[in-house]
Amino acid sequence: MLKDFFKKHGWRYVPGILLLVLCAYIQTLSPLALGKAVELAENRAPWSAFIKEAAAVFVIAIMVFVTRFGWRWFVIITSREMEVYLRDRLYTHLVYLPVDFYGRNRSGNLMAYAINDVNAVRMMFGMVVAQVVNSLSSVMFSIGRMTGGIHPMLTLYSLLPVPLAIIAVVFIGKKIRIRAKRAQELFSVLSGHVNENINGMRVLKAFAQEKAQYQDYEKESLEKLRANESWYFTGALMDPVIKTVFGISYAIGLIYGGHLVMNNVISLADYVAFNSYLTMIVFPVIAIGRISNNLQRGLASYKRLKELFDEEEIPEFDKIDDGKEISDGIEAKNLTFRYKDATRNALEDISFTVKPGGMLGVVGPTGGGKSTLLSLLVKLVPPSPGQLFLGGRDIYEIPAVSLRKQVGFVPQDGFLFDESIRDNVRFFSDATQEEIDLALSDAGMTGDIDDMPEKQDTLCGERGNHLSGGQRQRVSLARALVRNPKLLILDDTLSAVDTHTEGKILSSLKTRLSGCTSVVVAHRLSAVRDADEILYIADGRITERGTHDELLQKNGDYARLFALQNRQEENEHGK
Amino acid sequence: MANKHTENYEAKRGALTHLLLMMKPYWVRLLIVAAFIVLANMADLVKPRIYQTIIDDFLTGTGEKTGSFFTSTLTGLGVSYFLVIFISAASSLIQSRMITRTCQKILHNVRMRMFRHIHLMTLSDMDDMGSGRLLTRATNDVEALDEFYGDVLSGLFRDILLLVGIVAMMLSMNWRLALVGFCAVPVIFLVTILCKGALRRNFVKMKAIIGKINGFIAESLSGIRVVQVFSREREKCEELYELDRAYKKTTRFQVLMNGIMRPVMEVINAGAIFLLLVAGYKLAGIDPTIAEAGVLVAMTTYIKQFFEPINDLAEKYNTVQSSLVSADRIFSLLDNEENLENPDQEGGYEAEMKGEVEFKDVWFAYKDEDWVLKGLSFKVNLGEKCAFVGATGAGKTTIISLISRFYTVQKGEILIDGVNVNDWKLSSLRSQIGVVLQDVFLFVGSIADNVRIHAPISDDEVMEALRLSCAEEFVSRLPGGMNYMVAERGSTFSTGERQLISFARAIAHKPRVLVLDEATANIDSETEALIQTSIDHISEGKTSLFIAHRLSTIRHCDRIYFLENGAIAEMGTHDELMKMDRKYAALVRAGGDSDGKI
Repeated sequence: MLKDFFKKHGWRYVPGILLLVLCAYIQTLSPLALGKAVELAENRAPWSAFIKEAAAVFVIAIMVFVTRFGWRWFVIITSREMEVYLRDRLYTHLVYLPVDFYGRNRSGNLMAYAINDVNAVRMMFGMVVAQVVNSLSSVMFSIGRMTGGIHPMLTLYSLLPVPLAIIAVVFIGKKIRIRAKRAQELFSVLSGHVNENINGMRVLKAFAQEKAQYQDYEKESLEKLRANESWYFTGALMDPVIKTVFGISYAIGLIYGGHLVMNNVISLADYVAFNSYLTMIVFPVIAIGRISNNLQRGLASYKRLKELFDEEEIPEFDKIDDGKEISDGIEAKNLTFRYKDATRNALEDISFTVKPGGMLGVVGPTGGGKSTLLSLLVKLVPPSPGQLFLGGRDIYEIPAVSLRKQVGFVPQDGFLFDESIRDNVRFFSDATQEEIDLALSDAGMTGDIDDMPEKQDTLCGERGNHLSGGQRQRVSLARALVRNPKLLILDDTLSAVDTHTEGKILSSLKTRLSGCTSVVVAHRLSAVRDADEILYIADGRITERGTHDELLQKNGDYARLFALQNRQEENEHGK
Repeated sequence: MANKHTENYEAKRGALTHLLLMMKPYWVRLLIVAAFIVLANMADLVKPRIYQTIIDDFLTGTGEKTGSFFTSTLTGLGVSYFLVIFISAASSLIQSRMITRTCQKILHNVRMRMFRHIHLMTLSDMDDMGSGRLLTRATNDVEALDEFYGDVLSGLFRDILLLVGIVAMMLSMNWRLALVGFCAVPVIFLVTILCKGALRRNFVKMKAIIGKINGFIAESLSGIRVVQVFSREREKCEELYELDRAYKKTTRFQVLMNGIMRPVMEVINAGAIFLLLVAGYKLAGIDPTIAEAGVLVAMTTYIKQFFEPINDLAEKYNTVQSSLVSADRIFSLLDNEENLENPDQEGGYEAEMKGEVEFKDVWFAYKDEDWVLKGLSFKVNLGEKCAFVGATGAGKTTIISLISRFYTVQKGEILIDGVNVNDWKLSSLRSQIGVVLQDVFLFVGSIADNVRIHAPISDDEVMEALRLSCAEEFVSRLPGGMNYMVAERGSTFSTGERQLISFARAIAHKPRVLVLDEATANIDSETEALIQTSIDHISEGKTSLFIAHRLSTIRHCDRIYFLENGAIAEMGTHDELMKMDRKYAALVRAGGDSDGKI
């Protein structure tokens, strides 16, 4: 998934890593120069010799600055670009994944990919690379100088306790992570509880539940208190332990090194430098925990992302508009469909014909296959060849893009984006204001919009939740209408609209869409009453079909449903 | 503008006082903590000093010293060096454990106060505040205090201690060299403040963009079907690319600034060390005892230590600011106690409810003078069933909220059994009124838990309630029956099923008065028939008020009230009203639902 990225930007890691190593090398020059300068000052060496070393301290710092800036530029910035690249690619991939993928995956999980995993991979190719190279090379250079330039035995003795520090770092680091995770989980528990209470406050108040809730929350809050304590306690352990262990190293260095100076085995400059080198080893040791953690997370995230990228997108063919207009009329010939991994057919042997400009009604119990039929019509699920035809053309051979451009689909839940009503209706089409007005009026929304202070600029809220269910459905109907579709598909679109508004909308649709073929799925039979043909689909099969009147005469499921709804309706209308 | 600024400042100062006051009960403990902080930071101050002694007394000096083992022998000094480190490490451990204990206790208290407060808030205050903001107050804002107590306070103390300590140590060691070394300090301050400011501003920008990006992705993924069905994949991608381009710019700045700031500090340090060395060399030329090698080494160590506390202070400054913002939000909410409900108020009227409900000239507005009810009067006698009909906004749903005293009326009286609801003990009032709300809220837990909501109701009673509410059939089909765990607020149930569960809830709590707000949303015909039966069961023999949306529900009511503009326009039985042939009759004939939509 990163092949293209590395092809284009991978070279940057070469100078990046070189600069990292160089930076670590230059850093190890500094203690030496400082030690020499101090020694020369102490020994009253000539000014010219002294000033050379003293100035070196400053020059080295500048060189460190330059190299460090350099590797950050190459490595860190590249990793940031990788983040953006990965996110963009991931998203572009996601939008082209077929609908069944979204049936298998919750969008919350997908968000975790997009946020956490992308970040973890970014860290792995940025900070982790830098830390590994930097730590390794500065430890190597430091130890090299200590053994090669100063005194091997002194080095050995003073580094003796360091493995202890490494063990402590790894061990404590692991503990901290486990406890931090637990504390964070408890935070979610607490917020979940508060959130639920806030949203269900009417019920809680109505049932006088304050005390019981309070006790529950107190338990959770105390648990959080304990989890936080154990997390912080462990966290507070890390620093003192490392410091103590290195304290032993320093003490050994000071005592043994001091004796070596007094016996003239090493110089004062070496002594000063040696102690600085010890300091240089501390940081990489501390970093071990972080590095291994980030590396593990990065690898796990990389794997998860890879699996996601391996999901198959819809075929290329479906992404490219062939520019052909589709013509009216639908025909299904023994349409049978089974979802991937399903044990039985979702649709079986469905045949029907809708004349150009005609209307097909589809009713039946939930889960009977109505929605599958609609999904097939817009290729949200892939149809097999030779089963479904639009204006005589096999839907299989029409690119999804071309098809969908000319179909107006109104989904059941009336999903809206958190934008203005106008933008939701326009939805990237080139509709003019007049066309938007007209579509909204045909969808029976004009009255509602007039009541809103912001009119069409009203923001719809998350998933459209600033609007009522019926309003959402009508706006999403307008969104379909504004595109002047050749084929209109309503998936129980007016369920949250009262019967009368529904009637009005249906009749205005009739005039607006004369010549437009439509397929209407509904629970309320009033919505399909005028259809040229109504299919009653149950368990994936057509069990009854005919016009409204014919179906009533058959006295089957449709008639029974009608009677039930009618009784309820009649109750409403009075005797 | 200036005014707003001072106000802001005042608020923060108030918040700070509040935060500090909350620590008052722990002041002894905090004094001990302070002492340990001093001990913990001693090492950083003393270590260079020991180092200097070793170099000057043994390595370049005579090596002959008098005094104790720890101060006069090389080995002793080495051991002292370790001991100093060890003591400071141990102190810092003790210090941080103590501060954690205290801080977590305070946080727990704040959390509990917050939770209690939310439960006692009136619904109108809650509406004003918005659920999202309230949630943030109770969770993230409280969490932000954790940093204040745990990190900031001890951190501030430590940083200042270190800065002062380093200055003192350097001056005591050699004031001339110290003054040379100090010239780096203002530069460090300046660069830190400049860089940090720029970094913070950029960080805020970065956060905002990444927030937008995440929001965008979340939204478009949950609406992916719409995107795909309208073939707008390209356009959506373009939107993201656009956002990401802006993001890239801010991250680049971030990387650059970070790449400059810290390394520049080292250059400044190195500059100061260079000056120090030169000064040391020159001074040694005048008098060799002034600037010995050990002093020079120790001084360079001290100079290197200047940066950390300064950087830390700059960082803490921002944390303090954001903690104070959170604290201000928390305390301004907690301090506002005047509107809180008091469920167990002393002297409140408490009795077994008979079930007579009367509204006497009730005026009510959610906001200011936007009257929803304008002098509403009606009386529902014991055991009667009444229904309320009228257009959306006529005030039907408001009636429910007022009976349970979710809101307080501005004028007039609401009497239950002849006692004003304001005089009833709130817990007694609410526990005897069964309210079924339009949008049913299911909690995390099993179906039985949702029927019980913590009340002591036996399994058999729950089962009976489910049976009477006609929910038994679909519940028994679920794995585990009534122990089936409700997922995500019951999103796996249909609206009708959720409604049935909430009926069971109302039945199980054996209310004296039933108030029912019927759901409008799409319910399939079979379930609707069940709901009808269920309603008949619940309301049997009880005073019942229906806010009906389907006229079918209410035809057999003892009385129907037709509401218009917050007052009653017509009343009577269905037949009487039909005979009257006015608004209700017109509504029925037009086949509208009871919301008056035609």
